[in-house]
Amino acid sequence: MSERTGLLHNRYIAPVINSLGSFFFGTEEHTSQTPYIRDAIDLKRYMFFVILAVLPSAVAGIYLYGWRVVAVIAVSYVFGVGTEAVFAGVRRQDEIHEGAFVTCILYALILPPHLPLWIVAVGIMFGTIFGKEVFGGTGKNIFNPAMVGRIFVSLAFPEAMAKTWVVPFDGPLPGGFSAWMADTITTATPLTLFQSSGDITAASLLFRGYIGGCIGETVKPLIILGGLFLIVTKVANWRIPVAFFLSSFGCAALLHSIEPQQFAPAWFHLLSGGLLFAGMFMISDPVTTPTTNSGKWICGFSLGVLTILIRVFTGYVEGVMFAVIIMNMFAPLIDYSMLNIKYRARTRKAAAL
Amino acid sequence: MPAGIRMSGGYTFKKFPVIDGQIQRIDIDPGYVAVPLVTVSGDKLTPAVKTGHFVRKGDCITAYDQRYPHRNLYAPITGRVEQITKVNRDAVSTDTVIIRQDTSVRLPIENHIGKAGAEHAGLNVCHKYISLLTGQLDGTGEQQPKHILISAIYTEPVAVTVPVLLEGNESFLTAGIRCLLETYPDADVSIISSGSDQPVIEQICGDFLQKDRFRLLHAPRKYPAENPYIQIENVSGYHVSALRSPADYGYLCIDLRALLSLGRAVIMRHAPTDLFIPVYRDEPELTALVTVPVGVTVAQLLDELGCSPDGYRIIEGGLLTGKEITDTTHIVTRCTTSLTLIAHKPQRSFLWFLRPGRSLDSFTRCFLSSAPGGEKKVTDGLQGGKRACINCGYCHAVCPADLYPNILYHEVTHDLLEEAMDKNLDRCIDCGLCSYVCPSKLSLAYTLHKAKDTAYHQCAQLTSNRT
Repeated sequence: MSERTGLLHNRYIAPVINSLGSFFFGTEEHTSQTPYIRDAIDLKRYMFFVILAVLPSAVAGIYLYGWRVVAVIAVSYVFGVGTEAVFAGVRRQDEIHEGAFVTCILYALILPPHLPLWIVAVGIMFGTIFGKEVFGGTGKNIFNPAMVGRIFVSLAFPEAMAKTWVVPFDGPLPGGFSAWMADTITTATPLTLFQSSGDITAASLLFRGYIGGCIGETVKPLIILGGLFLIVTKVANWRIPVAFFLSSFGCAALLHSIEPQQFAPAWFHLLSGGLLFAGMFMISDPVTTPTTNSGKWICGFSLGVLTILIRVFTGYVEGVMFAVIIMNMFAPLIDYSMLNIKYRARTRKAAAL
Repeated sequence: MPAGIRMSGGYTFKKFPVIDGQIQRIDIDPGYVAVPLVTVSGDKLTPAVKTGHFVRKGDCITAYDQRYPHRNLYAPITGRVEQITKVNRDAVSTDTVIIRQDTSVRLPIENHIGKAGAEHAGLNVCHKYISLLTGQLDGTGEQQPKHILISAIYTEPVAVTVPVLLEGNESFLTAGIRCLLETYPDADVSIISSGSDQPVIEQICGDFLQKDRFRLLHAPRKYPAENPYIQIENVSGYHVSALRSPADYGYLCIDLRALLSLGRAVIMRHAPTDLFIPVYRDEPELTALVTVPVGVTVAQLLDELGCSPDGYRIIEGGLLTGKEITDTTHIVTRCTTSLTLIAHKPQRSFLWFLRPGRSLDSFTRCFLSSAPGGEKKVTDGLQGGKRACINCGYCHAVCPADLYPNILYHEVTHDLLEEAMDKNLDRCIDCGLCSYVCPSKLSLAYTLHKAKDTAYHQCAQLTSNRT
């Protein structure tokens, strides 16, 4: 960048301006070493495909809960990208990294629709700083920043979180599109309902999303569509979601067969809460999950078991959040062990020589 | 045009410039050539000719070494030695013999190089030609290979297909194979081809297929047949290792282009001084297979082809593994396998990354860019700045050597070279695919190449300290 001074060249503003420039127009950089051609995949395209995949869920969120959802997403973006820009300025980066754009929308979609906006802002800032930036930014983070923000919010403001589950709009098309927000009739999510009274919400309601829940995680067909889009375009690896769904289903089915009264059936676990959303969009994040294929299977299976165990045996019904964060911690270890096994023969041979 | 070159992990190179079908075939007959006095491995040579000498095509023009004929240089054209440039004996520049074409030369050659030229008879000459082309044998015939592998598969995604190479050259190919079979009566000769070219190869090799010593091999199916990168580990137990050369395993490896040069040399009775060089440009009519004598400059070659290098970057030796030529006075040597001209123009366009692939300069199927149809050009843009590795695993998915380039990159950049070597860093074949697919635009291939260099240096130092 040039040495000129002025508002546009301020170290905190320039990264935003530059990334907007490259966002809209691309870059003029060209190759200087072999290979002399590069594929057109880059992080912008990669990350933007995730946003495209969750966009239907966001629109469904507006339909169910009103235009306030847009405000939640906007606040998340302003404060998330703002935090990212400050760190880019401190680090004197040329541009802010694209990962932030995905983090902000994922974070907004796993929040209750009527959460006070200042809590949304605090959560995304916490997630961005302590989930990502303290480790060095996109690509170097250990934890999924959106999940870190969500956990922070649900632990720090439990009352606000508990009170903001609302009954969604139902009925013909205008639905939530004609209202700012749904009537604040506080309801319980299917999981909390089951924990308190043992009632099981009907599968059809769970599937089409007419339930209390987070903005993006209720309408299941759209989530599945988005997940399949990511898998087909190879942005997400299919192994972790498949292992995750199989193991969570199996674990829940096992528990249900042992004690049908106490434990909910497997389909209920699969369709309620953030399990499907996390399985499609959270654990397919390559940065915080293992890179080896065997590691991906192990991670997915452990995630499923952990999720169900936390849901069933602890007070936190949203077990997915904690399971994801715990498995994020183990991802490097899993990779390390898998690579050690793979290359053990060679290392032994070298030691013998 | 083949549908695309399928890689592992569902990646497909959609449109690399593969020469297939009707293309120009040009024999370039230059007015002069400039032969640098240096061997393939970079050693300096002493000229055996003086200014004003007349040389015939194929005559030896360096101080003749009987034992290592492949180190000698042979006149690529018939003519008069116009000048021998003397430069400072530094590491970079070399002396050059400039020969001006003169077809009227019929004079007897007045220096000792004539003796070498007189040995054009019997098997000895074939030894020489083969070692001249491969640089692997000593040319005296003492070192006998047990297996000869003729590679008729692409070694780069940018490649001239086998049918194009063979069209009109069938007699050269048969002469080359016959020469190999007769020169090494104890060795078995295998020709490896990919699936699509198999019928053409079978047609040419019909006579030889009856012989016990001749075999036709398919490229192994770990990657689909049309894949340019195969692990030839499975072929006759041949194993690629960076530490040992194929010759150590008793293998002689020769590719189809070299085989053609050999056949041509045997038939024409002079040293293989002509090369078959594919030249690629994004306009199909300017793409050509050129037969050219060693020593021509790139500028001369392009001039004969009628293309201007303005606005293009010239890459010698393939887009994935080659190097850029900044100076068009660069001389075409025996190491030149291909020339590619890629458009060098600004990459900026509005919201380019959102467009569904058709109009993107992209070559893989991992994104919607795989949607069929649409003309895609070869460009050299990075399409986005460098970022941190995001662990996406594309590099591992395309790696033909089954490495984890992302993990190796991490270890190498953190000075953990031994750990990287434990994870098979030395198996890297420098194909460049990891850098090609990396969404973060990291220079993985270059970094790993440098790391291998460092590791071998350390290895050598350790060994010398021990002794």
